[in-house]
Amino acid sequence: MKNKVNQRLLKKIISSDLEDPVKKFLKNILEIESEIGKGGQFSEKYKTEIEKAYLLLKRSNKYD
Amino acid sequence: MTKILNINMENYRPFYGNNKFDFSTSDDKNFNVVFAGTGGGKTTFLDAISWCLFGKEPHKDLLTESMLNDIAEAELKNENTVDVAIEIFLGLKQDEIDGIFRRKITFFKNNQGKVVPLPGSERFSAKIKDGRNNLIDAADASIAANFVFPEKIQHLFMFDGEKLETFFDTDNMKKTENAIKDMTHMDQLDNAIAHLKSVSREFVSKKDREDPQLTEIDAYISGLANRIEDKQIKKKELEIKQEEAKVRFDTLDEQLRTLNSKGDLEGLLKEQKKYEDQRNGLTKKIMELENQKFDHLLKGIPTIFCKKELEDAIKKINKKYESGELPPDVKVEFINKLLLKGRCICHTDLTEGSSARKYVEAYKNKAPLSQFEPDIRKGQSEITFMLKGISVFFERRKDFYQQIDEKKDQLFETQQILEKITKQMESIDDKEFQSIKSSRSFALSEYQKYSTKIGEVGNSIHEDELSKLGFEKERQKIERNLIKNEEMKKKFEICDAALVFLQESQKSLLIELKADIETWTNEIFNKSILEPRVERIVITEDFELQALDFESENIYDELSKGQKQGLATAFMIALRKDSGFDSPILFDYPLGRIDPDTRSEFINALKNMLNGVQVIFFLIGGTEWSNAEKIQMKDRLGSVYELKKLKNEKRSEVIQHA
Repeated sequence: MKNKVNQRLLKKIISSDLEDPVKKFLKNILEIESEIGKGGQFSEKYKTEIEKAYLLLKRSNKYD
Repeated sequence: MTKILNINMENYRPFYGNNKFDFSTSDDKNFNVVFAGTGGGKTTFLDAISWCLFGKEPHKDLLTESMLNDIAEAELKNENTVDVAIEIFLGLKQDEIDGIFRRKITFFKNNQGKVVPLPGSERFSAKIKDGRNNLIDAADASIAANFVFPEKIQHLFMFDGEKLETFFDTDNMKKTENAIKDMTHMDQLDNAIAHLKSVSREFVSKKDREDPQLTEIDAYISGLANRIEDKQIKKKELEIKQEEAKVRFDTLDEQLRTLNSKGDLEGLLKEQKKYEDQRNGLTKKIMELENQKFDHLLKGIPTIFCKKELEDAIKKINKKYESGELPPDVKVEFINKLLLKGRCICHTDLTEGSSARKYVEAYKNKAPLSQFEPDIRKGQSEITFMLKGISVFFERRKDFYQQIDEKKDQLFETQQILEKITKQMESIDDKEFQSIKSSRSFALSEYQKYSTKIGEVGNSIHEDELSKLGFEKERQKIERNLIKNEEMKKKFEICDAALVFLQESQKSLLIELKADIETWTNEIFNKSILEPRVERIVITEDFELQALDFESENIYDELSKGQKQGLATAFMIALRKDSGFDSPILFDYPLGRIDPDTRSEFINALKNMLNGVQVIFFLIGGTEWSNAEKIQMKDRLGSVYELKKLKNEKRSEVIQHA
């Protein structure tokens, strides 16, 4: 069960200059934070999201 | 959108047997009324909802010991059991239930013939709709309840008219800021920042993390964190002692009043109380101002730079730079001066052994000029920013000092008046009176002693927080330089970019939210025309809610209780509008504090403010629910229930009115 994610913050993320994988990463971690009663499990979930963002950036040749 | 379809109460306190309340979910008929006379069960009704959802009865102190209805208790035979249960049905239409919350507890007669709850019999269950629109048992009923009615923000959907009028009287800034943060789920952002910081550290390899600089800084940070925690515990203890002294004082004060029979004593006591209240208010305000004067530093201005010293440093650097000579250790020189003076701009103590001194020394050793030179040469934007920040800080601090001086003058005058009154009272010869009075004075002096100590500890916590913030910034910088593994570095950069973005958003979001809620509150408050002297409501930079008149003077304290309630209601509704929080509103005692002259305006304002929002009003029959109110609300009334206390019977009858 999830709480609402702050809509203003989502808009800010979308309209920011950040790269798309980082935007997606931010949206996903806010989704994680909106889950009720799941405190304490953030570390692994965050690392998975960072991994995803890293791979996306790598695939987009950002690091070449 | 969530609405309450009906509430069932079984044997709960005055509600004997099964009692069903159906509420209107229509957008046009969105006002539901539950009214009762004294003892009818109005407050108990709200407690029933709170007990069902959160397992707590807020007014338990006022209620009878047992939750089981007296008649049901009397009817209970040996070896039988009886349930107390509350059910809340949610949905938009009677035939479309979206959720059910049910809490029940079973009672039985024990060996001594006493009716008591069956141990472990309290059950809370919830049914919610799944993706296929089927009602299924929620895995965790408490989580489900908190999703629809978050307990943390209970006061933002269960309005208590008695408390609303004083909502902004105490801790105005904290309450305003917290309400905005809670309602808009800013805690998600706070948690994301904390979690990102924690996770990003893992990208610094273990070996690198053993860097002596980091170890030392970590030691400072953890030392400061421990110290802050200890001080906070100490502050809490002092607050408890302060509250105890206040209770002692109030009790003795009450005794003194009832005891007093001599003509002029009463007048003197009243005067004394008035000026003591004034003195306490002023002392509190001075403490608040003392605390606030450091707040600007927390908002990003570097803590260790003195304006004059910094200007001297820039001049020297410029001179050396223009002459082509490499800048010597100007920065170190500047820091030495700072240490020699023993104080920095925020008047932080830099004496031997102080945490601030350790920080400045660490900074001096670990930040040689060469490291900063390119930045300084690059247009000195950072320094210009610092200078601007410092100028703002000086301006603000000047204001604070001015305000503090004014309050201190007022305090001095008040104390003089109080001394005069005390002398007059001492001249009255009455042993018992004098004895209680002396105990009362002692309780008061204790209260003041704790207030001062709380202020001191609060200031000290503030200073430690500043130092901790400085260390944390430094730590981040060092960490960034430490990562050697490329992949780790990239991942750290992702975290860092996200972190910087979230930290910046945190600041700007609060400013935007504050501005929006300010606009909404104004619109709603002005619609009700509750106070023509108020030109506009503002929420200051520090989140203080003020009611400004046409000369921009804050006249919040001059508002009547009803006007204050109207303002708080407007603020709460503004918060709901802005956050999109759409649970029904349960509004207890909404009209009791509103002057009869402005009541019709207030009801009209409520109609405007709460258009389409399901509201259940809990009203006192007669005073809050007379023909006038019935006529005014008529076009919006969905359902009306009366809770009628039956004479000589231990129960209330539930009557549904047409």
